[in-house]
Amino acid sequence: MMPLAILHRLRCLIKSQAVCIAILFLIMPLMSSSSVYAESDLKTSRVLFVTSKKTAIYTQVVDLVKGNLRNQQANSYQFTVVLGKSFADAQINFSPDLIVTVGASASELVMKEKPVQPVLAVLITDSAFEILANKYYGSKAGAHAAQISVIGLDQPIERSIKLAKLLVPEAKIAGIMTGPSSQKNSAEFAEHVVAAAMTPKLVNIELTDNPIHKLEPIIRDSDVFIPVPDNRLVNIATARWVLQLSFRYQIPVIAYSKTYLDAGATAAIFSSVENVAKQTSEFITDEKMRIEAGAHMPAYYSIKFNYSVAGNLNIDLKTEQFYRNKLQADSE
Amino acid sequence: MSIKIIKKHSVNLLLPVALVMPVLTAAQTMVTEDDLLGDIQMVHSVTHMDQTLPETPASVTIIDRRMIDASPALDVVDLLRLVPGLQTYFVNANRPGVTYHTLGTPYPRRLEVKVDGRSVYEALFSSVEWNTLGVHLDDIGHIEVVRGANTSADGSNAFLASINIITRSPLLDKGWNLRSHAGGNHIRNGSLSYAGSVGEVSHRTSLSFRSNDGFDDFGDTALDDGAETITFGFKGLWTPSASDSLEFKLGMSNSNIGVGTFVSSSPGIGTDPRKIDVQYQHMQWNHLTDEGNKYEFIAYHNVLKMTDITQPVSLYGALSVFPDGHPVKTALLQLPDKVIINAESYGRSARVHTEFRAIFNQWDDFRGVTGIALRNDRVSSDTLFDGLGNVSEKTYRAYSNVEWTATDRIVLNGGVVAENDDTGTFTSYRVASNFRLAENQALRLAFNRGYRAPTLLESNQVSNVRYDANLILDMSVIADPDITREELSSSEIGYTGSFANSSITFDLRVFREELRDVIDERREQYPDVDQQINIRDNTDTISVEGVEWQAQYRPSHKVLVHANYSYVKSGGETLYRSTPNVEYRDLGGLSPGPAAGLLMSYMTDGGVSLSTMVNYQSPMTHPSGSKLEGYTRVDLKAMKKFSLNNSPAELSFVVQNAGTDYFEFYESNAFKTRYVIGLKLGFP
Repeated sequence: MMPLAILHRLRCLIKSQAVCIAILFLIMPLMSSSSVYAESDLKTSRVLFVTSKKTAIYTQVVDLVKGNLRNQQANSYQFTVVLGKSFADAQINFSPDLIVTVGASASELVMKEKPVQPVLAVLITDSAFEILANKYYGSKAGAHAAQISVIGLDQPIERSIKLAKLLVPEAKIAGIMTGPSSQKNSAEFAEHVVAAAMTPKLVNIELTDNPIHKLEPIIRDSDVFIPVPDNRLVNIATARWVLQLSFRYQIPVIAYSKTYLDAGATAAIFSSVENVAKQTSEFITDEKMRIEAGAHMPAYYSIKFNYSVAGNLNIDLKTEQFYRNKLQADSE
Repeated sequence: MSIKIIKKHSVNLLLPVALVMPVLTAAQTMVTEDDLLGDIQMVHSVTHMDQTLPETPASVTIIDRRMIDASPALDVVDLLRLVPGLQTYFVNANRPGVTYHTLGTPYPRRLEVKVDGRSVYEALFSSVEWNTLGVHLDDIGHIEVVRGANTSADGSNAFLASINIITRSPLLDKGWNLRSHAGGNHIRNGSLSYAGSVGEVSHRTSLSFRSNDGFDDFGDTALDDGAETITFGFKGLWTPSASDSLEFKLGMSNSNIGVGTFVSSSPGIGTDPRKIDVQYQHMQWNHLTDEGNKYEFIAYHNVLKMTDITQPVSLYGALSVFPDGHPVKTALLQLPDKVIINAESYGRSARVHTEFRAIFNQWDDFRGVTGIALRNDRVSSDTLFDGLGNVSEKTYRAYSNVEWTATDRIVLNGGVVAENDDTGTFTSYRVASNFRLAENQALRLAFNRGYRAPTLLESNQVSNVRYDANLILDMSVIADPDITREELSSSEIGYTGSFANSSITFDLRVFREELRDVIDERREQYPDVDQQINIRDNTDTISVEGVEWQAQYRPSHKVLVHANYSYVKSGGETLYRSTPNVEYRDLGGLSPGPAAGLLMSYMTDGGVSLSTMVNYQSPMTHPSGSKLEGYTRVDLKAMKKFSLNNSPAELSFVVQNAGTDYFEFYESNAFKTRYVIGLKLGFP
């Protein structure tokens, strides 16, 4: 039976519509005050975080980095966090020693201003950084010369290919899907597939292509399938069809995000927020890295599995650590 | 509706659309973190935007393919027992009813049910004919149940809740599939489907047959509620480009459904099966833009034709129930005898619906959807709309729903819909605030105000028995000319959370719902044979309050546990009689009380899946139904997948209601233990 006393209390709470709406809007500013934005801690080294948005992923990266640094050197840093649009004011008022941009649009807003301080761009794809570097500094080398460093978000595809082979050791053919942005790397992808003792089957999806018509024969003939991240339209437009066709032909998909995994891929290898934050923290504390600006591939990665899909494909999954060890051994 | 009226109401109607103003930005060609880290967009039905559960402005239950496979359910209505707060019941063996919290009448009218976005709430009975949907469990991809009013997205019919059944994509299957069930109550179900492609069009085409004998006879009374249904369905998918997709579906079904002697229009006379023919055509075009926005165009056409065949009744035959010397009998015996209830009566309803929807995802913290819809319903029936011929209504609808991520912890949702029909223009809205308590945990406060216009039946019904054009022998039901729309105000506090890498999920909803001007029937004196007439009018005031929760545990692909519970307390009063004396009656006795469900499934290492589903319902009385004892129903399922000559095969054995008999809706509807064996074969 329902605990009537509790129900009565809750009933009182929501009985009045006016009370409900009032609660709704009263709590909002209270909870807003817990936001990290505009926080300023009086410590020594001055790090300015510039984020693209104020949503959870961005604040988590910032919070984790701050937490890591405080744990290591509690009194060595002073932080300020602003949205990209407030960068100019923050730069004047805060006089940072290092600017950390979180997200592509924050990077663009900062790079456009060409600050004199060193900049670290995180939570940004290689593709986005290259476009921005070309746009504002002429080239990636030009950006690095201007003390702009980057920690790439996208995992190197060889990790996905190796993971695919570990999951399906008997796989002979690996299907790879590229899009308008990633097609230029097709040859490199094919080399990695061959290096993993498989035959590549490449398919490129342009916006004008019939995706099902192009994907079906490739997925049908593959033993594993690896979509390469491209721009959002291509990702969204193809993910549904990739997963449905892979279900039809019982082909495991190795995805590049947890989103893709939860939607029906077999496994995913990706940079988590924790991975990004850890490498960012290491960069900030490493004086040499700060001085010698450059591009850094993601040092850390997360591997996740969709056990339901793997079970359906009769893939006997081992522990995450097993695959991590194997990938580590291969890279050494 | 005339053009003038459209113009008159255009400002009101288009106001919700104006709330979401698209601002074009330069095409985003680079791959950003959004492309890699985008959220898992799971739920579409609440606002028509893809949202995660912690972002939605309403509680949602998702019944996915794994739950469907694990459950011992044999049809869609069985699955809905997994949804807290939903009442499912069988008015007769082949007339299921589904409602949310209250008003579980033989023809429940306040729940929107859609199949792939096509409303199957049909206008003749103002209800859903579940048996004619042509959707079998194997056709379903997943089901989204929005628990609570969803008028701001789905319009007037989603007054209490809405259900969207998403069918499987043609891409998920290949080749031929044969499925069959046979068992108790002479259940004989079979289907044959083929999935493949014709040119660039992928399709799934299916033909199915279902039959059963219905409930056992009640004492000496034959219930006559068996049914046979043949269904054909086609679902096609064409993707001319990466940014465009076109889905088109068509189907038809032919049913002979025993309506049962307890719900026939003339109880005790004996009724042959009701013949129902259904057909539909449905298309949806989706277009993705470079900015991540989406445009959808939806059009569909539903037609339902119904024929009832009964024993004809003559005047003298009807008068035989009166004692000799009764003044009515004496007077009417002066007239020549003739047939007054024909052997055959008919009904027809048709709906044409077109809708355009734009979903804007281009802003950082703000998303929105806006749409306009036009619907034309047309009905006719010689027994329900005496002398009115075709009755039709055009409904115009404009709506917007927006989601604003105010801070990293707060998501605000607002939705408004303006609808215009024969009763005028009215506006419903919803506001909600979701507070992120921690990662994957959110607290929701929501408030709804919604209106439901009278259906064509409710505002136009004229049911009577005539001797001729000038003499009405019995006027049974008419609609009050001043009937107006129902009103709902509801408030809720909700919580949704997932833990342990999403292997545990929990959803809680505490609610209060106030319904005013609810449409029911009041009695009045009338100068006919029984001196009484029932008038459809805004007679009821109902308040509902309670709590419901659902929890799920999926530690691996071998184990699934789903539990749901609801406690619903309702009260109110109805204007039962308006002449000669005004009489109000209390509705407190219709309170559903506590109900619960549990689904547990485990797959052995040998590939055998074992499941049990337990449902508890406390004692309750449905409106127009019998006062029933509470019951606990236990269903069991064992299933084994194997390969037969390299073809996938699946053998299952289901026991429905493994315990003692219980009763559905009427005390005559005894649900006895049923044993059903199933076989599926695939020929890829």
